[in-house]
Amino acid sequence: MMNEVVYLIANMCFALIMAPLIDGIERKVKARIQNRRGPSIFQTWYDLVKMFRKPSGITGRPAALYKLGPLLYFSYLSAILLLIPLLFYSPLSFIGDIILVIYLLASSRIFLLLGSISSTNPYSIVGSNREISLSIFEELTIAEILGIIILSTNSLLTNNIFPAVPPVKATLILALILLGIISYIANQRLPFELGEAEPELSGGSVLEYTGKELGLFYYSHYIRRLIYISIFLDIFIPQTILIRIWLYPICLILVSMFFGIVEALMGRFRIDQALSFLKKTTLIGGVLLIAAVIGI
Amino acid sequence: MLPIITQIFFYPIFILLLSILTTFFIKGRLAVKISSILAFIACVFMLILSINVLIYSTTYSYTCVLSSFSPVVSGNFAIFSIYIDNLSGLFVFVIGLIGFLASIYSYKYMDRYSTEHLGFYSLNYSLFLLSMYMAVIVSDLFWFIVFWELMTLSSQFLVSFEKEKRKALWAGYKYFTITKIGSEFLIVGTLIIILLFNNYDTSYLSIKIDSLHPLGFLAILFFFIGLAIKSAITPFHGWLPDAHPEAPSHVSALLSGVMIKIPVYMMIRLFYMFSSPSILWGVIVSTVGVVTIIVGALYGLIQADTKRLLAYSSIEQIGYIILGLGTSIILYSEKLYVLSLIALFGTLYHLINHALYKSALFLTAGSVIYSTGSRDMNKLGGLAKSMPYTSIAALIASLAIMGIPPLNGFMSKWSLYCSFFSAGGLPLIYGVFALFASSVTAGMFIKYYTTVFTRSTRRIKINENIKEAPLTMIIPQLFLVLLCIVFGLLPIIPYKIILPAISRIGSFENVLKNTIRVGIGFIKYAEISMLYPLILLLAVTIPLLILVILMSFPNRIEYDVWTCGSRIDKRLIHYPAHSYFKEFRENFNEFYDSSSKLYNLFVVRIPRITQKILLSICPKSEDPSCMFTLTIFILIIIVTLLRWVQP
Repeated sequence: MMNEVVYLIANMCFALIMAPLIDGIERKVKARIQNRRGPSIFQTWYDLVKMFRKPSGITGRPAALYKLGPLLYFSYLSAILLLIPLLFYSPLSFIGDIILVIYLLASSRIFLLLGSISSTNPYSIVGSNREISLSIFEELTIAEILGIIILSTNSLLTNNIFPAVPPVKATLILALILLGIISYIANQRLPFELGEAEPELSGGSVLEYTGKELGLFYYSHYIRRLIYISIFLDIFIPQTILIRIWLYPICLILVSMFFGIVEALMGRFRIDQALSFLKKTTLIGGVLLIAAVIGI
Repeated sequence: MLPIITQIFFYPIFILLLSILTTFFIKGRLAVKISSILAFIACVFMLILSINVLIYSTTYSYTCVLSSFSPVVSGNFAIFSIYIDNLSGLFVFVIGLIGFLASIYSYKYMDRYSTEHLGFYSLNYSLFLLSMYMAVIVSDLFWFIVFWELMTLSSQFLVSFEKEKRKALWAGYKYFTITKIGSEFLIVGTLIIILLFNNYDTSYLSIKIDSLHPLGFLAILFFFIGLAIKSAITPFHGWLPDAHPEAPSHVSALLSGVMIKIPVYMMIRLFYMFSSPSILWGVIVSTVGVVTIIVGALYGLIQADTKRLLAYSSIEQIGYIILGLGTSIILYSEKLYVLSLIALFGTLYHLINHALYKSALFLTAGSVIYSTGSRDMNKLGGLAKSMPYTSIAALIASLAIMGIPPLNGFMSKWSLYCSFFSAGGLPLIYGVFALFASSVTAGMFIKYYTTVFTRSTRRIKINENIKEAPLTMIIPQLFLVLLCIVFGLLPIIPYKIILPAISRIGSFENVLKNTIRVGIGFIKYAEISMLYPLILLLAVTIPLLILVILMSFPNRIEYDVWTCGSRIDKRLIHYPAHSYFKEFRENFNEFYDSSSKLYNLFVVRIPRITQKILLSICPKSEDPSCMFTLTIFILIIIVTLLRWVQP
């Protein structure tokens, strides 16, 4: 019991502290690719602290929903940190929690979008609309991948699903590649970063947020990235504590550095290009799902 | 005859009959007030009755031999019998709850109509409630069909209540003709059953359909089609998006929340009690279920009329219920009783939840109509300031229907997904589509809430002098929303209500007795799901509270929306509802195109061809010998068919 509480708190603290640091590392990598020196890896933390010190502004109507948007975004994401294996396995695992994780991810985003739409700024509404369109396609692919993973592990508990034990089927490996792609897309990284789209919509869904709310928004955003990468990693990394405790942080940093490199080399898609790309991934996912049900 | 008066199930019948009688003498607004109050009292008795049945497991039965009163009444109509078991009790609970709140709501809401037809409305409103109540408590198929027809008839008059509007008349006409065809299917199914299997006995207890017999299959098929038309399952859903928006809003709530669930009641009886669950029927039912979900969701997304969007969402949600039922049948016939029980539990849980939040949403749409007179999402906007309570109710109900944990919509979908994904094979693929559709639902209700309540509107006039709806209209909404939260946080309540209703079915009784032996026991599952919402609530609220405290103390600055630095009236900047998800729609063009082609083929072209054929036959009807030959020909076909029907 004591151990489990320690694991929970360790998981929580690790994610909350590491999430902005990982972004700092990414920034450094991106800068080096573009022949710049780049800021220190703690720069993201400095930015956040500065934003949290500023007062917050209100434009939205209803103001309560506008204010609650980023708060609920953060709290729903931090609830996920309790349920998935991070530095240690998650002690709170129960039947069907993987579905709960997917729902929590989706609902956190819904709260953010409700908040940004209720700022009544048309740019925010356009950005949020794009994000909803993208997220519907993402959800289909995620559902397909979930189906394949559940078929090959026969369980609905995160602790039993992760990691996938051999013999691993071909469909599962392909589904994992797809999961990597989707976790890249769902993190709103560059070719798919259409909701904010700084040059086009000048901030889009976060346009009206300032000060503390903006800081909280970015903080949650980094946590969200960490969650997606962790779900992807959990499938490989064994749950033995001694291996996990060093392998997981290293892999986390490596994957996010890789994502950072890809992002540095990409330009932004138009919304229709992004959607047709996602349409292809859903089709591939569908084919894989049928193959997995047949038993390949 | 006297003892019946002491029985509680008799009171709603008596009160509603009284209400029908008063409408013959009293007209106008007074009739509405009286019928609302009487319906309210009747629904309270229904609730008491259902609590008696569900919690104390009392069963009521009553038989009345009508032929002793009058010799004219004979045959299957001679005996009128009522039997209220737990399954009926569950549906009486839904009717009572929604009817109770809709009646409070109607007290003020009906003021917006002219006095002309109000007497007629009150008659039909009482009759509608009465026929729904009777349809779920009678225990004889013949009487079920009688009340089923009465339900169709009275609700049709409620749909086309505004006779001046051509659209309403057309919607009512369409609704009536399509559902009437459905009840013909039911009658044919019943005829096959009594001719083939049952020696003219149609009481529920004695019906046993042999699903392997080809005519038995046909009987179930006709029954299923009849029920599917009424609950708007996809090939037959055309009437619902026209009919539900046209009715007064509390009637829409009753139609969507309650009426389209009554076929589900009969389906459970049909597949689990009248015949034994077979895998073929499971596959058919779950396939139509998943098609219904996808069609309802994708069409709901592109609507720009509040009540029409809600109507499409009802189609989607009934799809979830049917998919759950179908999966439960598949799992039952594969002898996976525990998973089947979870699926059926999820189905009924979702049924109650849908009744709660969809009624709440229709009532909020009704309040918006009451205050602004509009249901066009392109014109509405920014009502959250002038209608705060309605806005809160709409927000929470929208979140519940999207399936945000820990509200009730998530809890029921969760138990459905657990069974879909554990089942593997076909249910798993369908589960993937259902998960996808629930993200479409999220898009749909973000659109509903934000276009009506938050976004600024270009129509400045519509936003001026808008008042919050009266108290009798706010209370039902807030009560429903409160129930949404309670049923989500404390799933033990629906668990206690639903489990008795399904525990009598087939092998579920043995499963529930021997849960310790089963791998992932149902009881264990349920206990965890009881515990989980509280954990989740803590997990979500603790960081939230800390944040609220941290963020609230420095001063806040209020400022205007950023308009690229120029000074414009911000009400001029407008993002209309039909622009929502435009890119998404373009990417799903194949779906929308092919379904509109199918619509053209089946709904436009085939009737046209039949019309032509009929017109060419028409002149021949004056020729007696031709008609005589035709009649003989048809009679021969009927007699040849009847030869099959030897027991």
